[in-house]
Amino acid sequence: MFIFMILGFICWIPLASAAIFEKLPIAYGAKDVYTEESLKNSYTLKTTGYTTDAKAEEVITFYKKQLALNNWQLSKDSTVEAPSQEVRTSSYYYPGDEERSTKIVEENPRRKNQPIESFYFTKGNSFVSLVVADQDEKGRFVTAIQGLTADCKECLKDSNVEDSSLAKDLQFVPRYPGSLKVGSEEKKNPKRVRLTYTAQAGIDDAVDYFLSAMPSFDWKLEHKRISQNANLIYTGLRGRAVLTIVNMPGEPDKVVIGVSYEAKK
Amino acid sequence: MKSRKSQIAVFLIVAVVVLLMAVMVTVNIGKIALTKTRTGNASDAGCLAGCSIHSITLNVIAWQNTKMFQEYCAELALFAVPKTICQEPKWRAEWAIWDAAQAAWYGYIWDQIGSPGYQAAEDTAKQFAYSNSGVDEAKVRLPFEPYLTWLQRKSTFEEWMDDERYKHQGSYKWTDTQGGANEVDVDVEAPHFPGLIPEPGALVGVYFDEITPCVECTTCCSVDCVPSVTEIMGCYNAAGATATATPESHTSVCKGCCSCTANTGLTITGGETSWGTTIIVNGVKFTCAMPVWSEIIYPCPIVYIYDIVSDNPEIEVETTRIEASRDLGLWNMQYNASLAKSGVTSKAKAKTSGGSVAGPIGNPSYDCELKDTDGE
Repeated sequence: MFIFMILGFICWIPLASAAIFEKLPIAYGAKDVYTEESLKNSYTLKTTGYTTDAKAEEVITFYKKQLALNNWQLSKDSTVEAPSQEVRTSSYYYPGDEERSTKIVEENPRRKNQPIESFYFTKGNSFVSLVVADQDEKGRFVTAIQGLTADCKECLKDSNVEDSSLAKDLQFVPRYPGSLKVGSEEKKNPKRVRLTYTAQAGIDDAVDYFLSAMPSFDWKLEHKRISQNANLIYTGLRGRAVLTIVNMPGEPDKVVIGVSYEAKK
Repeated sequence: MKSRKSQIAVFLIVAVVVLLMAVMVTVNIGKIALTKTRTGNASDAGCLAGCSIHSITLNVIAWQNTKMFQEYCAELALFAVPKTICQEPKWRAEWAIWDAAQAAWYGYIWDQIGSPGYQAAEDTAKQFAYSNSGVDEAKVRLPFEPYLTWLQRKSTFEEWMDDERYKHQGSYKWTDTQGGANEVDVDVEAPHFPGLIPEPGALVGVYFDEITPCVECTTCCSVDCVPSVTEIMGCYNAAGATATATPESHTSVCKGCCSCTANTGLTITGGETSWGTTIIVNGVKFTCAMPVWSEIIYPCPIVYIYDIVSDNPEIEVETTRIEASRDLGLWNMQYNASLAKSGVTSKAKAKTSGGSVAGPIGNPSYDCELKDTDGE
């Protein structure tokens, strides 16, 4: 009896994951298909991406028809126009890094102002966000994100309330005092966790805090880059942690702290 | 009849001398040919090995670029999921950190894959060229050295290679057992990493503002109210009412997002009756309670790699071998005067081609081909 229960549980594990998401259609001629499941912010997501030689309009029409047949409602569509820059630099760009100078400026005759179209479908508390990037002779790149919303009611109206559905703090990485967790991402295989915090502080304050606090959590500083933004790369027995500290756009007295952790393989 | 004794002896002596000279010339030419083959092999092996590293480097960059674009599309799809405008600050933070991460990824590809990859190509070319140049340095057995120890001990050349001194020294010189000076020079011409060209882009955050019932944000957000209020006024005007408002930019209405309707003084008049945001037109109660979409464009300087500055790198390896002269008593085995000075040289050139780094969908199919070989 006990053995049957264990077998039943083992069989249930993959089914449980499959049961969350409907199988989404894939346009014909799909190549290099990849899928990935993750928990991001307040969403449980399944991302499917692939390239296809089918035309963008064909892909869009295909999805509109197929998803409508499965009772998905088209709620929103929008188009992102690619920047129409004619001149670009090949300089090594790193936010806030002023040490490296521009190397060349290149005319870019091949540049085409190709749009990226996005569509948003809903069914109950599930959604599908579809992005079709038209890359001319290279085909179309299609990304479909299927997700479940687990919205925190308080978070809907107050960005200063921490969403309880976000990933938990990493016990082995210190948290900046008084910071607010605003985003998270969890992936398995390999195990990766990314946490985003905001805090009323300057970049220097946050950097000083982590430089003094991280060693007591058995992290060894491998690389440090501090200019307008800061990057601190740590290694330890548990794996690798990258701390990125940037100014909050539009709010000069606030910083965004990104903690990216990758478990040791 | 005359005696013909001893005539054959003279002939034989002349024949033996000529034969001996022919053998020596043959051996000498053979030795030059062998040296030529060795330098040729060294150059071919060196440039093909270096070229392979170029291919691997470019294939990794192309693959990474595709991953960068996948990441961008996934983030784009996530930002396109409508959220209440009260959540905008959280997504602004997400944009800031994502943007920094993407730029760091770009920097990583440049600094940790591209530059060291090209340097490794040059070093590998030298390593393979020296290893295949046929350095025949004798490993002298030390006095009282056991045979096994001598066998296991590395030669001077092996130590030189293991210490990677070939990376910085342009030649390896050694003295043979008869005191002759020998030398192998390897000269590699390979490009430095030319650099990457970034592709800028944007993330588009989609937010909605439920006009009625309204979700009152308690904190500030930066959604521009103008489109929302314009849309809601259009909705009421289409229903037969007169809607007026003074929408302003987000900087002045940074009091709460849903209050786009409240903070901009939206008033609804007309119809048969109107109160608040509800009007009655032709006896029908009418409220524009639809979500009003707001889109915020977050610019990103780097979303993926547009291209590499210069593609299809070439690598050229020149190997020169100078050998010591051999005085065999009858014949001084050496090259002619010019060869003795400059040695036997072989050149080879290989080129990487077939793939493409250029995004967003890179083609990691770079391969190598030996372009041309020559010597003197």
